[in-house]
Amino acid sequence: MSDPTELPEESYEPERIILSDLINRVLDKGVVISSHITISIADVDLIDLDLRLLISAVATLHQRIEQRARNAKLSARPPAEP
Amino acid sequence: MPSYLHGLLLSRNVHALPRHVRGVANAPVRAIECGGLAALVGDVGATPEAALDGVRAHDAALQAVIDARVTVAAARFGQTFTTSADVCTHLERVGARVQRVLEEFDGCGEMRLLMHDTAALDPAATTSRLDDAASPGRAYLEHLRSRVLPALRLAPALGPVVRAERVARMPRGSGAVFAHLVEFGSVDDYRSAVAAVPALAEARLVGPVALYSFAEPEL
Repeated sequence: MSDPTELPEESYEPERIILSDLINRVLDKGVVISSHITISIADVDLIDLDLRLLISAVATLHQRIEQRARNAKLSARPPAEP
Repeated sequence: MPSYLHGLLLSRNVHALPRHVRGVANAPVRAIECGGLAALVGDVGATPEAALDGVRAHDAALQAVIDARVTVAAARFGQTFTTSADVCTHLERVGARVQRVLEEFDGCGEMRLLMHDTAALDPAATTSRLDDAASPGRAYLEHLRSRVLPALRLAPALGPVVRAERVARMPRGSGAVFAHLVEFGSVDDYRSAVAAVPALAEARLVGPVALYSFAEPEL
């Protein structure tokens, strides 16, 4: 499945925003009455775990990548004059 | 054959459902009544794929119900049950809460205002970005907090046409999704209220859709 979070930052065309919202709300919103949600891709069950944990894990991963990039930028700065 | 769950509605509204609705795997969607709630299910041959077609089919089935002005709470994508009876058994866990929401907001749909940048609405956002450079740890905690408890509110500016509001950050960037519960008969008034707020000129409006944000417990 295409991941809307892979879109470039500048991709704010209305259609993309609306499509991104559709995917996010269907996959990440709504009533959960079963403790397990199974999603398959190409007939192979790839995900068989609590979707909340999965979403949290992906969000955390994104944050860590962004944090690492930010830290790298900070450490690349020349040291301040004493 | 496994039953795929699309959404939930009040049993008393089943009579108003449109006919010939199809959902995931192009399966005909039918209602199973479980006490005061009814589940919209379709018989599917296998676990649905997390492909765009499946996502669209899930949403399209719910949209057909909303277009008939029947309030429906969306189910999270990917819930399949061995038999129809299993759906009712599983409903016991969350059924009372969902039924309360549907009773309180019967006759409403969810409007979604999508803003890719809320800086104009949220002066604090600028401060947060400045903090990012000064303290990555603090920025990380602020980011987590903002996802759970967004400070933004639009309901006061839009007036009583908004029955309830929930706000969530978009997964990336500084955007936000404002979900509003609006009565089907007030959708035009809601659109006018949005159009009257200059700061929302760039916002994208979607809806009415099924109750997605309001189907979940408040965080």
